[in-house]
Amino acid sequence: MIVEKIDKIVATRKYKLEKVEAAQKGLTKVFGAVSKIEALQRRVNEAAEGDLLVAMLKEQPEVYANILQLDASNFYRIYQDYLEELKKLENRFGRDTLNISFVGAAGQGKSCVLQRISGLAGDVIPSAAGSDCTGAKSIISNVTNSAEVTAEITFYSVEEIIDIVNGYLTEITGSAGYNVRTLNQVSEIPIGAIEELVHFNADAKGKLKQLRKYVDHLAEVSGNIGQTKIIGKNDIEKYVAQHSCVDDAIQYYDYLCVKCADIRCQFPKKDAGRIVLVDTKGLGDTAMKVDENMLYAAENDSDAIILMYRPDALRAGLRQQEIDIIQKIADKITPQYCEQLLFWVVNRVKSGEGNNLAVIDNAKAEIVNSKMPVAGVFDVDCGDAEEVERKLLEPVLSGLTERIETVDEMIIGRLNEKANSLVKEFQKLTDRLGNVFIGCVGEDVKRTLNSEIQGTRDRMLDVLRDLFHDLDQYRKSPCEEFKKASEQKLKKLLLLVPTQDKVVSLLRKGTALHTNVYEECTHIIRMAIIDDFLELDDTLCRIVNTLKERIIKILVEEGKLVQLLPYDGDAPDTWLETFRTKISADGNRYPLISEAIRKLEEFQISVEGFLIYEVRDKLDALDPSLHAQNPQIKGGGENKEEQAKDIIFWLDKYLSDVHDELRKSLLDFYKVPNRALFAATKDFYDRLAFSQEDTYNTVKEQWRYLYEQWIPVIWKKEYESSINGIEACKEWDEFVKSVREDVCVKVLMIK
Amino acid sequence: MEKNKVKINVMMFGGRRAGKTSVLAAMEACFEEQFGTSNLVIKPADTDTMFAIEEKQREIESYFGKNKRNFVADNEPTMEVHEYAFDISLKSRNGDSMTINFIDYPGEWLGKEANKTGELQGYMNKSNVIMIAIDTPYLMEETPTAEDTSIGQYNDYRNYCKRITNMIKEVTLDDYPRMILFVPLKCEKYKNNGTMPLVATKIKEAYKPLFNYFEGMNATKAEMAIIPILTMGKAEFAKFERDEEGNILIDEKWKTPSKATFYFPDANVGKPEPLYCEQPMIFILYYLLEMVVREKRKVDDKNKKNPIYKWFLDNVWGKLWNLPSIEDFVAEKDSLKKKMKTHGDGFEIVKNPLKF
Repeated sequence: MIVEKIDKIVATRKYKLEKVEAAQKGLTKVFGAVSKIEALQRRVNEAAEGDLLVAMLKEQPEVYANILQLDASNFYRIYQDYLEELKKLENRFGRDTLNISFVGAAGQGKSCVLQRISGLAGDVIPSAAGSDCTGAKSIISNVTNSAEVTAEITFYSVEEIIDIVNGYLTEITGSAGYNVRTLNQVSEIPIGAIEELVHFNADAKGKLKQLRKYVDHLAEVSGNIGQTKIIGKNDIEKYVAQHSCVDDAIQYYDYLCVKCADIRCQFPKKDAGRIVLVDTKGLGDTAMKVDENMLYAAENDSDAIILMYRPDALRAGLRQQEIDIIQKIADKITPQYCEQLLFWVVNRVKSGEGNNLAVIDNAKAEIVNSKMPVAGVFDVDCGDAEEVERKLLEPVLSGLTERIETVDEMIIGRLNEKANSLVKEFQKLTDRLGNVFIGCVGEDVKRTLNSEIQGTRDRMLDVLRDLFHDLDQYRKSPCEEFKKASEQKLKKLLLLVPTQDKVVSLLRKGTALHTNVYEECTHIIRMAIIDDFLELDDTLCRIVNTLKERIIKILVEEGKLVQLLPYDGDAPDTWLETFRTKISADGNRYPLISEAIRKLEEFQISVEGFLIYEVRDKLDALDPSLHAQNPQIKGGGENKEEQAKDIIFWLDKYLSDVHDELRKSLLDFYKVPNRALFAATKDFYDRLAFSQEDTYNTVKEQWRYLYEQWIPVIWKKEYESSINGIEACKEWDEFVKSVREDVCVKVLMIK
Repeated sequence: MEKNKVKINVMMFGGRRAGKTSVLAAMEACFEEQFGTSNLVIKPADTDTMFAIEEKQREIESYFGKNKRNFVADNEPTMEVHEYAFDISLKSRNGDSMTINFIDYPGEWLGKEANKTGELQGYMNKSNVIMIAIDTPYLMEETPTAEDTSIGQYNDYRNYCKRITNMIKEVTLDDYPRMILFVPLKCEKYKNNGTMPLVATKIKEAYKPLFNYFEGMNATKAEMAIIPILTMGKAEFAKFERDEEGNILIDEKWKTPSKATFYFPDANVGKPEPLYCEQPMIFILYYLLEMVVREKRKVDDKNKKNPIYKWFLDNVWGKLWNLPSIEDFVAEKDSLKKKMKTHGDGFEIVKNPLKF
């Protein structure tokens, strides 16, 4: 079962990967378009001799200044962020496996659990009680039908090794200025002199110890640097462990150059599927970038994350270290992700030095009470292979396969938000590009177009008036769409009666009395009814959006505002907001129009606004807290079936009563949407037609100024024929058009 | 003496399964309880009536049972016309009793396809009293709006208000006034939740054309009253059954809900506890006595100057034969009047030419 589920998830991801790749291509185009804009801006700035376009643009100083003011820095900031996220997603969907990362402080039992799951021993997965013996990051892949254990070892490059060594030097000596540039220089690092600098700084001392290993042993293990090699089981230990699992005295140093060991073997659990276990170095180790590497693995290499925690019998309470790990991971991958797929394993040690049986329950309770974002808390004896499989691996695999697609969608959603921001920035840029001629209109053109402007405004207002007259006819009638949706909810309400089995199981739970069970059922039903009716907001939202769309179409078509901002059928509020932002870009020059648009944008009808109180008012029959006594429930003693039957009878009867009451009382409310639509439209019309700041600053005047400002786009032909730089204007338009056409911004959205 | 016997016909009107026969059964039981010790005696005039009444009473009792929570009412419809006769007499007097003859017909006959309108109209023409049984949940539930005057959407399919109105309008009106009683049944739910006045309001709305008909020239032609009765007492209407999608299950033939469920709020009630069931009989008797008094007064007025007739009335009719006089009936009327409920709990005399 798990095998098939994982295969299906991987296949779905492959399909989504195509969308990610398409988004990447789209992003390249967007980037190209912005580069083109900047190149043109440079061209204008340089103003080379003989450049006719620039010469003509320069003739209109306002236009020229507008071009030079174009600024793409915001776009690049969002672009970079989006690009990084896209790469992470590509990496995630490109995997052929589901990855489970093990994180936690050093000595919590990570390696021990990995051994139990993979069936490998300490010679492949190093572990030593209470200490950190893992030398390099390993990933362990489940490979079906393979008796062999092999590993692909990837070594660091020269540059990476030098970076690591310099990282130690910086950490230890701070600004003292030690650093190396070649591998040969590593063995020449003056350890003695540096040691004197360190004095009693424990952290620096620990790092110095690590650095010393590079200084003393790098030369002997550097032969593999930059390579990748496949090795057999017997050789794995020396590349991944710090010392032999048989004899501590036998030290290994090859791991210093190992970037990652990909160990492949067949796991004992047959139904484990294509999973990969990612081992990370335990926090607390003095090696470089342990924190960073762990978080990198959690963010980039993981589908599920397991935090290993071995409570200490001698130290009460949760350690800050675990809380910090969760917090850091949540910051990286979001708390919502953690709530789905971060599992906290409490390692139960039954005997020996680490025996912690006495504190396990308390530790679990503390985790639960801490309300940290985790998907589950498992209490597991990590030394017991059977228990690790049953209590850890199985629930994690089950949770992982159930929730991973939800989490993937969540990540895609987040990415799409960023894509949306990027698109908006791009549009702002192209809008500004397209608007360089805006506001550069001479008085003679304005005079010529005066009657055309007035006529356009009056036509738009006339059609708006027709709209509210049309709505006026319906405002005393029920809104059929809302009525239909409400009636569906009413019918659904009658189906909330629990099943006989459900009620019997509640009656058998603990020492619950039949009255308690009856009350519990009423609580559940009441909340379900409220939640269900709140869903009517979707219908109301649709009704409101339809009205807004009608109004926008009037503005766009009759008011000719399509030239300023076309309406492509997307969310009407987005159009209204964008339009408002657009006309206010150079200061709030049209406050009355902006205010009217804002009011329309804010107009919503919500269930909470007018209906939910009525629904709640009619739930009294199902609310035992409002009655002196519960209904008489038959069937005494152990006759749970009889009790359940009677409880169901009462719930059914009261639901029926509630239904009838609600049905009648809702009849009055079905008119509300129609009344609200009329009111919103009438208000919008009044504001667009009659509002004024003072006698001389009326909304009609503001319309005139607005149209005059946008003459170059709304009455393009008339404008072009009236200016000297016609050719420049045309060439500019061609350029803007080409920039816009190059980019299909919708492709950035992954659906 | 038989030829002088005063007899009135009471037509039991109402849709199918409205509970017409149950009214008769409950009336008989209640009246016996209320008037057992009074001077008035009421008893089934024949064994057929007695058996039919007893059978219906047993059916009502069968709905009750220890630990029973709910039931679906009335699975035994009346299949043909029945006449149930009750004799009324005075304990203190000998002589002719009066007879009330209830005509109970199958509610199905009101349906168009039954083609029985003519037959029903015949029964109606010869009836002095028309009792209209109303299946109240159908009147009260599933109203299209929340207004008080809004009528349940299944009401007319069940209670045939429009057809009954039209048929009554076809009745030839006589000199003497008829009595029309609206008897809402299965009202326990509305009595217990305090909405009986609403029942009366909705009846007046549903039968508005009929009430309007007895205005003006016809104002003296009918005594009209609403007298709700609770035949079960402790069983309330619960709901019309619905399918899995929440739609009311409909009997396609009659276009009415196919199942009405009633329930016992107290599952330990063992037998019916009817309320106000004696009232229809009180109204009918009062009407009957009013008619008898009127008739006797007519005869007395005609013969009052004849000394032999006066001697006969005083010495033979009253003393020797111990037969009832006008004064006896007037006394009984007064006694009935005291027990008559004319307001509260949905009771209302809507048209009152007889000055009840």
